Amino acid sequence: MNKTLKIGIIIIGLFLLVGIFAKHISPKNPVQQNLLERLQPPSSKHFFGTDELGRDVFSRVINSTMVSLSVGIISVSISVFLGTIVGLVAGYYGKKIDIILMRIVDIVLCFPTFFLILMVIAFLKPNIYNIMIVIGLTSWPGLARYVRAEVLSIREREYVLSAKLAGLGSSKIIFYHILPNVIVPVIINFTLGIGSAILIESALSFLGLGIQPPQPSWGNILASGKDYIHIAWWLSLFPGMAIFITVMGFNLVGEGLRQKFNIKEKKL
Amino acid sequence: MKNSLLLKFDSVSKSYPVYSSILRRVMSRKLVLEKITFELEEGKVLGVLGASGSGKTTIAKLITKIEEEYSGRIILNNINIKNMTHKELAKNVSMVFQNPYSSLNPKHKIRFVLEERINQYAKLYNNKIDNYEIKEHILELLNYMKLPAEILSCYPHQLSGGQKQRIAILCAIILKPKLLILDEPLSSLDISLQAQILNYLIDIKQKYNLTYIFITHDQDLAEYFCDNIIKINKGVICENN
Amino acid sequence: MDKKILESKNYSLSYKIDNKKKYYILRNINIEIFKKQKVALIGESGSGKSTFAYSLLNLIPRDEIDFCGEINFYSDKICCKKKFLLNFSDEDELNHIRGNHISIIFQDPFSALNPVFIVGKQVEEMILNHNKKISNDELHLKTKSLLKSVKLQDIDIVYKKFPHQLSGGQLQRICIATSIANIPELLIADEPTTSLDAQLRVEVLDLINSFVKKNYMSLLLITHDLNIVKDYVDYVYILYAGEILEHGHGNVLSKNPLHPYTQLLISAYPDKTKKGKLLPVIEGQMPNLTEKKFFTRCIFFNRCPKKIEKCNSLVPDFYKAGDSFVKCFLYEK
Repeated sequence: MNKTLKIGIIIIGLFLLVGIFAKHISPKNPVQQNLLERLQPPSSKHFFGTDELGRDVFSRVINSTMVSLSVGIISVSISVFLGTIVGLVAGYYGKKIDIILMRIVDIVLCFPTFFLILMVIAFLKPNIYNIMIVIGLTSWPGLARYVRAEVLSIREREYVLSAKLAGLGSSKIIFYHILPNVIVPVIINFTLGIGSAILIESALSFLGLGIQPPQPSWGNILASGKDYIHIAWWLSLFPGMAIFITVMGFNLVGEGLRQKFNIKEKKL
Repeated sequence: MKNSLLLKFDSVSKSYPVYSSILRRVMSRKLVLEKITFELEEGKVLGVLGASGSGKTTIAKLITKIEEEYSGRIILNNINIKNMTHKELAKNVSMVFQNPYSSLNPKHKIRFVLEERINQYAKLYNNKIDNYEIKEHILELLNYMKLPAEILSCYPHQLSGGQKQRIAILCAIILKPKLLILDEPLSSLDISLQAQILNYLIDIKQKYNLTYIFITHDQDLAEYFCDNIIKINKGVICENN
Repeated sequence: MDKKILESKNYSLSYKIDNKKKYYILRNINIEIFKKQKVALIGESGSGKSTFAYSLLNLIPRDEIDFCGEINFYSDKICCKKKFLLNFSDEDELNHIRGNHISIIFQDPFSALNPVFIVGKQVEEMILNHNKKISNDELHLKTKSLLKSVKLQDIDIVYKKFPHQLSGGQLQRICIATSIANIPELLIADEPTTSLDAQLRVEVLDLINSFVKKNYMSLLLITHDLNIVKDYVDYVYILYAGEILEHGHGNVLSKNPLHPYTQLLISAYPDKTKKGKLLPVIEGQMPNLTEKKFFTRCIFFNRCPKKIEKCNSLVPDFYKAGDSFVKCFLYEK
């Protein structure tokens, strides 16, 4: 295991622990207001200070960890699943199926992702589930294209041909013979995708279209902090740091996995 | 006694379309095989001799239905292969490829590779086979090829070229085909290994009553191994003896 | 007798994998090449023959390997008759030697040429590298005559082609053109024919042969196929698992092989006369070169059909038998 991967796993592990035990760790109720202690700077009583309604920023940041992580993981699961299946099917069957699927990919790629998400959210209720689904449904085409290109070269390999000659069915060939050979980039894409999904969720919440207050999320803490940035820097800094470190953690894991598997492929 | 006819090529031609660079229109067709006609009796070894680019591998691709568009008729076991499904074809034809390094899936252990083929054999003939039988069968096969049982838990990259080629041959014969196509099975092996594989091929041929199509560019090798040789040059048979 | 041009004295090479196991790739290799001599080094895959070729040109990354012994290169062209040692540290001088005095033809012509440049430019670059003052017209003429001399047709068209547009035979000819561009004193050909068809093999070997003769070069031909090269070379070394087992004159050795390994290797070659018979097989595998215990006995011991008791405990020396030298106790006097 290389250093990059180790550091990444440690970071994500820490955040996961914090997310799971948020209720036990957080010193205050994240939604309880205390107008007497508005906009307090960080101190031993409030580690990350308090916001404009006197809520404890530390507790709010901790309690929104799980929201961000679960949005990241679930939405990317949807997109990786879709992307891999579409890529495999298009690449393996080729011809008309390939043309149709790839035109759909082109169409989805044509729309600016963020604009598409905003549009969908505008019609649907902006709750956490809709956000997961929308992010998932808009971020698969890149992976689909990548997988398709890989499959195009793998399906001409001799072991696939000999499996075909043995009369094995298409689904067996796809899942037993082709998928294991494209799974590494898929896994790497998975971890790297989580980082960008968290960013999208934060941006949506920042714009007020994501997680709705009073439920905290890193994005909407940031959003409320922007009005006070001249007098209360801690309101923007700490949730921003949280986003930054989580995304970096996932990127490190992705990068580490890439390095790890690259070396292994060379040895083969 | 005259052996029965197994494979017949009846003026088979194959051409690939050549596309124009911009609109992908078919500009012309490039002929790779022109009116190939030959017959192959059961139990014989047919050598297909030709330089690279002569179209000799295309013949293998046509028989195995990897390429399906051609003119003329290919008759296997009295059935036109156009009317055969892939599963029926699998009962009749197997193929060993040139490069042992890419003929085994790098992500599969050898045990899985062999088990998969044995299960497939059972499925093709609607036999039921239990795990114990599979294990016995695998050990028997390994023993026959003088391979140690330890390699079952190895991945292909841990094996030597000769071992890989032996496994590839095993994979091909597990399905008990009538016709085995060997596409330059020796060209990436050392001479001492070539001899070993050749000896196995001769032995297997008798044991399983096989017919071979042996594709090669090496005249000496073809003359050593084959009963009939057809020479192919630029898609045309130029010698048949 | 002509002058010696290259010699390796007790040359051994080993390298470590993952900082754990040490592979003893080559052990005590003694090879001499004289001027105008054509030498073949024959071995199967894993015998270390390519490693030897690369170490002649110092192409092996130096930090991963250990070596001892020496490889000397004697040249008339360099004024002070430099010894070309392995621990040559001056990169510039090394580069001058590579290409000008020693050059190599690689096994795979498809990866030996850069896919993004037209082939003509790559030949020109080779000439330019070692002769910077040449004018453009001269360069062009020289390139064309080089391409003509390797018997390529339609030179003007080939000149402008990218490597992927040419066939293996054409590419290998171009590789030969680049490596003889500066008329080196020693040409190393590392399996120049394995990726080619049988028919082309003869043509390419003929081509290399005619160049070597015409320009009074020495040739080191590295291959696994004794039968193909026996007519082209003067002297043959048989390499097995990092050791030389037998050396002698090419024709003598192929007609009358002495070492059991060479005998098996030659008789395993299929041809018409052996039709219907099974070929002799060398049983077993090459010994694992990480374990030192194999080096205290004959290296071929585990596969040898003619082994005697002595072979298990002692390492044989080279014994002279006829015109050849054999590392086998059967020929001990």
